[in-house]
Amino acid sequence: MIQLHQVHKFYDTSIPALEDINLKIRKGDFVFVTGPSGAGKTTLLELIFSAETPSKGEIIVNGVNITRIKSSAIPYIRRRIGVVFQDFKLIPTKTVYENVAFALEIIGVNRKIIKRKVWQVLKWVGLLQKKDAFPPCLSGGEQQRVAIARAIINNPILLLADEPTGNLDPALSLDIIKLFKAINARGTTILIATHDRQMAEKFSDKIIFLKHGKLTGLSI
Amino acid sequence: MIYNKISYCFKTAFYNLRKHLLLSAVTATTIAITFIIFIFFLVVVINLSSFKNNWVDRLQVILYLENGADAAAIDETRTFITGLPEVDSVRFVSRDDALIMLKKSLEGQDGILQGLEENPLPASLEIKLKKEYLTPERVEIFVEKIKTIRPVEDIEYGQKWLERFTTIFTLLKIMGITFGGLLFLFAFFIISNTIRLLVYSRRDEIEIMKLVGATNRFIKLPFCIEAGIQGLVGSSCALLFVTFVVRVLMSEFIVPFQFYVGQSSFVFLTTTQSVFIIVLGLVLGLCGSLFSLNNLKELKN
Repeated sequence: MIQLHQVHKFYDTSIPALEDINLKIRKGDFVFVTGPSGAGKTTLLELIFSAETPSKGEIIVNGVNITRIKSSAIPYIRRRIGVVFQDFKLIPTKTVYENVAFALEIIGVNRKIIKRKVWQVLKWVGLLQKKDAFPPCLSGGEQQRVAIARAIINNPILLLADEPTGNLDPALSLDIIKLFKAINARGTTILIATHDRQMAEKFSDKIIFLKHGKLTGLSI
Repeated sequence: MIYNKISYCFKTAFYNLRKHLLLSAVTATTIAITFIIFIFFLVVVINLSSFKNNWVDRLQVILYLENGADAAAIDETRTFITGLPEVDSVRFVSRDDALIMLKKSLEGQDGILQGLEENPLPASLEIKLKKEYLTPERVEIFVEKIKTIRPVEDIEYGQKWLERFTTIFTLLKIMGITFGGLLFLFAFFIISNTIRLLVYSRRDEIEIMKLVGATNRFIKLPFCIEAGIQGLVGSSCALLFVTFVVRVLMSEFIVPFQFYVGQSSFVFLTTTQSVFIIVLGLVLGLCGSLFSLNNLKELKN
């Protein structure tokens, strides 16, 4: 599903954000990327998601070498990848329903289909009764569920999550991880970045360890 | 699918126009002011052009003949002038005819001519030139050619008027183009900055749109529609305003003025010109927004 060959990423500083990363994630895997702050976890996810381009090396996602595609093709790659962030990235002026429907509206899906799919996914994440609420009125856990609902509504082949439980208490974190497990059970490959090594080890045996931009351990 | 996307873009554009009503109104007003000045210049130039054409069409070179010139000499002169390539037609006005015409034009003021013992008016030849020779330079060349002919005493033609007209007309055209160009540039940057502000106010939404796979074109379209509508509203309001003002002026000032001057009638914009102005507003909006959108880092991949 994901292959990285000798991937390097430099920003303006001389210290690399990522250095010589080689890894392979198979379809249907449930993988954690862990390491301390500044290890390069977010950069790794951004590279896979084409939000950044590698300074060196090749990245292949679902058979497509995303380092060699035109920038105009990136949106189409992103439609097959769901992304979840620590700060949820919801639009505060849109309702829960509208936030989730948004992901389908921008690709031109018919309104009737949007309605059916949004209801299904909100029911699945347990938020149907809050479909008319605005994000600021929801708890952190609920907001993260909305973000997850938005990320999976397009049936992505890959779901990337950057510190999805970073703002949540342990009980809510557990709920969210269970939700990811359920999504994974439907066949979606999951890659979660977290600084919480214990949580990573508790929920998966497939872990990528990063430190100062280098791969320090791999159990895939 | 395309219908759904376009419908979404229009829905978003109208929603945002309502949401940023004040900003949209200020932009549309700026465009309207620009267009009011532009239309004003256009109407002035169109009318001057029409006035000039009308006046030039009536332009004649009049040769006043010496008193006592014999009929054979006049006839010879007339034949010579008729044969010149510049001449369209020549009409002989005898002294008696000239007096009749004068009396006619002074109808009701007969007292002016009562003290006259004899007809003071000379006979004349009224020469109408071909259209292609009705420019200040060509008329001047023609006059040079005939001024030494006998029995011509004096020549009258609207040379100074023609020159003045041509100068004013050219000056107004240059002013209109320069001033209009500057105003359009100003409106262009106002639109472009408005769009920049709108993009900035919605940068979080744009980021999310990109995350879920929206293409740049799709993100830009609602902004373009917004700016296009602002341009359209601006130019249409300007056209309505100028039409209203012209109607008021027509009834109050222009009709009496026209009566006084007795020249060509007042010309306003044709339907094609009006449509062109409205479309120009739309194009200005679209270009201003595209200029801004293509230079924003938020809309680069």
